Amino acid sequence: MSDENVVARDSLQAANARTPPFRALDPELPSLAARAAFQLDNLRLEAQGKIHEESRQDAIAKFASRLQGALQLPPGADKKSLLDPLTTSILHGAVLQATSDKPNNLDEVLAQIGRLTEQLLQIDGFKAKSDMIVALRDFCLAISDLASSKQRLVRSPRPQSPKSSRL
Amino acid sequence: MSQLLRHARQRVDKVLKLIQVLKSHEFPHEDSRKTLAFVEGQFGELQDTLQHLNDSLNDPHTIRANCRSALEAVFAYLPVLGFVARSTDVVGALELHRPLHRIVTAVVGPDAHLLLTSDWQYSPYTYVHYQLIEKGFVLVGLPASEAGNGLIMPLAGHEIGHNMWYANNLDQHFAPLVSDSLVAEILNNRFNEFQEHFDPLEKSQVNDLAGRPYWEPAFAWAMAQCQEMFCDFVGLVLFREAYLYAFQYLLSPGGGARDASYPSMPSRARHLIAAAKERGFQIAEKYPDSFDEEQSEAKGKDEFLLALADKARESVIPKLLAKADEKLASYEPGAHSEEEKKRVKAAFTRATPVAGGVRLVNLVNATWEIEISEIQIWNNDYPALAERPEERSRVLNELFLKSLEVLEIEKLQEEQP
Repeated sequence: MSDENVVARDSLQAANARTPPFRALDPELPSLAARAAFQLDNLRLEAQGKIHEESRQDAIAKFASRLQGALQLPPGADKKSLLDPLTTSILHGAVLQATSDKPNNLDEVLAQIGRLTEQLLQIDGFKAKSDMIVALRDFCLAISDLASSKQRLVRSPRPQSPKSSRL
Repeated sequence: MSQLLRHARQRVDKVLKLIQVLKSHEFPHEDSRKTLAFVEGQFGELQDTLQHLNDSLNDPHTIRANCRSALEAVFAYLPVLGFVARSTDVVGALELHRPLHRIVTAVVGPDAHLLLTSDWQYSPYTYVHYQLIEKGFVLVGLPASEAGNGLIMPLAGHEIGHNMWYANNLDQHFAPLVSDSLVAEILNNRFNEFQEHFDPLEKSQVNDLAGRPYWEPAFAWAMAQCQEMFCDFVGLVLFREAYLYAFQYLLSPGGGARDASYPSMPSRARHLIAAAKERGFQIAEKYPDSFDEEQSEAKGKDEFLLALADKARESVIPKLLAKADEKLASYEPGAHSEEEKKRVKAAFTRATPVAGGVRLVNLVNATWEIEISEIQIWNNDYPALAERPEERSRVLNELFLKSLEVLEIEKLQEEQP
């Protein structure tokens, strides 16, 4: 990766400083994705007329914002070097599990993730479309499941608490 | 209600009840109470989600995922609550808290909180959790057996480094560098080996969906190793030679089994020595010899992947050091002073604490230099001490801690109008 790309990416990161990055090993990711799935499921129930109180959407917004951050690349940057292999693996797995797509390469995975992120960001516009809401919910669930298992897998050889780091 | 959901709610309720009990404790520092309030907020949110999940309406997979998240939160936060509970125990060197808190607020964030406790793990450690770090909670555990030993203070620098790593999103900064290095090594030098260990692939597939899963473990190990080295450099830049002495005191000779998430001990020592020399620090050439090579149990594919990880980590060492320098540039620049160290040594030779605005880096380095010196400062005036090395170390430590206290009082006086 060129120094220009590093500088450009760092500027972008500075702009998004308050949004934590979308990372496979973020301990909050499985829980955030699960809460987003819950809020989407409530939107589905609302769309189907099964509940009448308005659902919260804060977790959906936070989750979508993290995905968006992962996909915003500076011009000319190489996507392959900006998404780490663990995160790529989760995103790829989630697309396979939650959609009928079978992407052949990373660009296709990212294109699909981009579409799903857009839909999450504009969820207010899709409140009547329960099929779409279910697809997005399943995508969030897949991310939650895959991130949780990936985190256990990566941290399992370490003797300490999974959330601690020693000298 | 399903048993799954009922049990998940019960577990979260019990954590919240435990927090109520802990809140009634007396804490020596307000930061402990703030940490409790934060964890309570996290569990309050979980409780709210679980209470709104409805077995007869919500999707079963969604219920299960949220119950699992709640369980994972209990696993993650119960040790944090234990940490807070132990922070009520004043066994450790209380004098370390304020100076370390100053460092934390300077390098992690102005509103950062520090919880420091002596703990029942020998290796110093910190909790690395985005939600805690995002809110500026830095939790550092130092070994209970060394409680009161102020000379291990520089090792807290390494743990603060972990918090800086996450607070500055350095994973995102270094991940592409590490990925690029791994891919270049596979393609340019080890492609045949790669094919022997894994499925036959085209070179163009190594860094795409087909090839990435194969070298994913090497990436995870290399990133973990890079973080460890960054933290070592933070300790080194903050505390200079004293970090190396403290590291050696606590961990030499090392040995045992190699943990792939860490560089081998001799490699760590070599990287540290190279960085120290670059800065003109005075350290013995034979320092790395004080650490034994660990035995790696990795064989076959794992051995290959670990070699790739080691190589990738080595390739970014200069950038890790530069990043540590950059992130610490505003913390007491130019604080090192031979003259201040001489003042510390002169005061300690008289068996009195030092005063007069000596900076932390000089105090801790002068103390370590006395500790490891073959020339005994008390030979003339206190011959009884000179003959008893353990008593000498005890007195030296007392002088160090008392000096920290004096310096802290001076700083507080300076800050007050």
